[in-house]
Amino acid sequence: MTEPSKPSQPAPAESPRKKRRLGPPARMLIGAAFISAAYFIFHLLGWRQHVSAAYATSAGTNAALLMGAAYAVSYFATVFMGPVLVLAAGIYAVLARMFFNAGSTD
Amino acid sequence: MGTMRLLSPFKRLLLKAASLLIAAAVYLPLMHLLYRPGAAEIHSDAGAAPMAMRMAARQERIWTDKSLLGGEIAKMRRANAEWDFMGRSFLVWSLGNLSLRDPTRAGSSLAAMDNIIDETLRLEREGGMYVFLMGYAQAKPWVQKPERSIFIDGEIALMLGVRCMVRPRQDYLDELRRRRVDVMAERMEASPSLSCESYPDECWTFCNTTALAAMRVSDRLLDTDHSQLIRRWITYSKANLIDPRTGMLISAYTLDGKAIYRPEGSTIWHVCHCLCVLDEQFGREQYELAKKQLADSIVGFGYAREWPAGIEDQMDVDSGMVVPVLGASVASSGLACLAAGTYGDVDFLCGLVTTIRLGGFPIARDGELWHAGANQVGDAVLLYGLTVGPIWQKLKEGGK
Repeated sequence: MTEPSKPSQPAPAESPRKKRRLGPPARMLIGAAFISAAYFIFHLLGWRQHVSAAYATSAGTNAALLMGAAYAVSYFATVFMGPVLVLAAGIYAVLARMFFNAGSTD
Repeated sequence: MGTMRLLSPFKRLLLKAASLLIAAAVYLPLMHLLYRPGAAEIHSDAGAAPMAMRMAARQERIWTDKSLLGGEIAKMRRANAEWDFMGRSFLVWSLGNLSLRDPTRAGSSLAAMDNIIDETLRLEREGGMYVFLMGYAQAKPWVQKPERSIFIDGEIALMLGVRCMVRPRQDYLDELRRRRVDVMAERMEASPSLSCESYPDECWTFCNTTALAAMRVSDRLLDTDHSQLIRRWITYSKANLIDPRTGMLISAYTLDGKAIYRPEGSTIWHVCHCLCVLDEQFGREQYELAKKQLADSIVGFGYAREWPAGIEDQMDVDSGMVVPVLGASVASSGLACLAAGTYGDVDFLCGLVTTIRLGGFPIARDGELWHAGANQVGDAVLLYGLTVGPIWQKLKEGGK
C-alpha cells in the first residue's frame, strides 16, 4: 500500500507586519505630508501673524513668540524639505530599479 | 515584470542619501524661481510698480484705521521707539515719490502724509524729542547745547520737504526752514565735525546725511543755499569718516569726529541713498563698496550682511535678526532695497525681494500687501525702496 500522499502544506502566509512595511519612497512621501500638515494646521490657526515676534521685529508675548517660531520652522521645513522629499522619493524608486532591480518597498 | 530583489541595509542607505542629494541639487537651485518677482512688478522707470501700489494701500489703511494703527505702533514702541518714528518718515518719503509716479493718487497720498506729519509734530511738541528716542538718549549729557537730535530734526525736515515737493504748503515750508533747516545748518557749522548728535556725543552718518538731503530739498523749495556746507561735509567725511579697512563710511562718531561704530549695513545703504543727491559720484562709490562687501546671494536669494564678511559682531536693535552662518541681516537687507532702488540696480533689488517673498511671510489680501515677518517700519522701508526716484530726480534737475 502506498502511503496516501499528504496534502501539500500551504506556504506560510507573509506576516501582516511585513506586508505593511513601507519602503523609503513611501516614508519620504509621508514625511513630506507630515511636515506640510503641521504647516497648514499652524496656518489655519492664524499663527502667521505672530512671526514678527519670532523675528524680533515687534514685541510680543511668550505665547506669540512660540507660535511665531513654530509657524516659521514649519513653513521653512515645508518649502525647503517638502519638495526635496517628494523628488527624492521618485528618484529613489527609479534608482532602485535601474541599479538594483529592486522594488519600491526596499 | 522581472523579479524584485531586496536591498541590503547598506544599499538602502546609499540610495536614500543619493536620492536626497540629487533631489536637493535639482530643487534648491531652482527654488528661487518660485519666489522671484518679475522686474516690472517691483520697478518702474515711470509710473508705480504693482507691488508698491499694494504695499502703499496697506500702509495708507494703517493710518486711516485707528485700531490698526494703535496696534502697529504699540508693537513697535514696546521694542524700540525709533521704529515708530522711522516708520512715519519712510512712509511719508514713499508716498511723496509715489504721488509723483502716479499723480492720480496724489490726493489720497497727500492726505495721508499730512496726517502723519501733523501727528508726528504734535507728539514731538507734547513729549519732546525723547518720545521718539531710545532710553539711552537721557543717559549722559549732550555736548551741543541746547540739546537736539539731528535724527529727529533731519527726518522731520525731509518729511516736510518731500511733502512740499509734491505740493507746497506754507505752514510746512515755514516749519521746514525756521524750525529745522536753519537750526540744523547753524549747529552743523558750529560743530568740529560739521555734524550734529543723534544721541549724546553720537553723530550717526545715517542722520547727518538725511539732514543734508533735507537741506538740498530746502534749497530746491526755498530761497536757501546750503551747497557750501554740503561740499564741506563731504570733504570732511572723505578725510575723517572713512573706515580704512573697508573704505566705507563709518556709522557713528563723536562730535569731534572720533569713530564709534564701524560701517554697518543698516546705516551705509541709507547713507548711499542720501549721498545720491549730495555727491552722486561719492554715493555710487560707497554703494559699490557696500555691495561688494555686504551683498551676497545663495541659490538666487539675495541678502545683505550687517558687517563685512570676516568681521564678527553681535546682533543689536539696528541690525535686527542676523541669520547664523550667512550673516544675513533683516535691517541691512531691507535698507539694501532702498540703495538698490536709488541706483537703479534692478537685478540686486530682484534678488532681495525674492528673499523677502520667501522669508518675509507676505500677506496679500483685498489689494493690499504686507509682511508678517516685518513691522510697519520694515514694510515702509521696502516701500520706499520700490518707489524711490522721482523726488531725487527733481532735486538733481533743480541744480545748486
